[in-house]
Amino acid sequence: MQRAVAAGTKKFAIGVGIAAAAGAGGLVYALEKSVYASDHVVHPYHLPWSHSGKFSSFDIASVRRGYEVYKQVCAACHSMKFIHYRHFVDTIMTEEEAKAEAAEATINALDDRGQTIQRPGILTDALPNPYANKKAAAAANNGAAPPDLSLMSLARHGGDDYIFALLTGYFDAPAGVKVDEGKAYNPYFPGGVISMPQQLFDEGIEYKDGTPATQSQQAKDVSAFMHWCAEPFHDTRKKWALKIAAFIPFVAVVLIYGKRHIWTFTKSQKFAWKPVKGREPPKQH
Amino acid sequence: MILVKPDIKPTMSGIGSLAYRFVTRRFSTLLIASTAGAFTLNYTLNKATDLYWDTVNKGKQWKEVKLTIQ
Repeated sequence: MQRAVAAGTKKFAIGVGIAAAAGAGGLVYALEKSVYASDHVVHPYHLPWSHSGKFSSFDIASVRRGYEVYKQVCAACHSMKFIHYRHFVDTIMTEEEAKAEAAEATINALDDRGQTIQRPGILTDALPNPYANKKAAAAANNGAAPPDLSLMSLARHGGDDYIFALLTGYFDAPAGVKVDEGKAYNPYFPGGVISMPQQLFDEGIEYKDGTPATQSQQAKDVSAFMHWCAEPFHDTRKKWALKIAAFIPFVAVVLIYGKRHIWTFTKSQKFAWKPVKGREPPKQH
Repeated sequence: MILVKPDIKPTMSGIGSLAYRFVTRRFSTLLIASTAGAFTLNYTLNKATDLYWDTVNKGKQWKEVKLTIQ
């Protein structure tokens, strides 16, 4: 009787567990697959990024080219305040390259007497901000301040796909869409009208490594660079995921064996109550 | 009550009994074995996962890109 009840409880618990897991899985799936049909925006298409696999690292050659695109195109208006030149050392550049990049930049700093000066950058400097502050940035760009790009890859729906689609998605506005002077039409931007005109053009820049700088090549590379900036620990994270995934089977064997070992005693016990003559339990009435 | 001693055969065979006789029976040998095993597993697991990582990400990593820079 007791065993039957215990078995029933166990089955019930397993059933509840499965139902909860299925419910949580279904909820996550449903949230992931939402249509977002109310947004006035074209959703970016999925691209086969070479770093999108579970255990895929960044393509560092692409990230390096992306830095060239950022430096020559984006940096004119967009800051990257969380990225310092030292971050580039032995991750995407040699120390000499990073020092040379820093030295090319003009940094606003204070001298020993507290006076503002301009000096060439060093490794510990952040990438320079093109504007003194946000208001100056807005005033110089028709009232729309260009956002900081340090974490942009993770800050927008669609991530890399969105950035690529946006940078390559400039079209003539369809009839009925009013685009003000100085604005541009881009269906991938929420609302469709964006303050940033098209920036990337075929052969707009020249890559140091000789890769043909088509518009889509530049967009791909700068997307990779922006993702690298937003997630510099990306490769380490995925490598650790691989190591832990490989280690789990060994831990599972030890834990399962240990559990069975400890439970052997409990599972193999059998208790029997035998009434002794003269000491019977009281009768139920 | 009569206790019946179970019939344990003195000749044990198989990996499990070998491990018991030479390793897990004494704590000293168990400690040595588990320490050696931890180091071995750590080394082989790292080697294997690094090899897999370098294979699937061939040509994409900084250590390889560095060699292409003059």
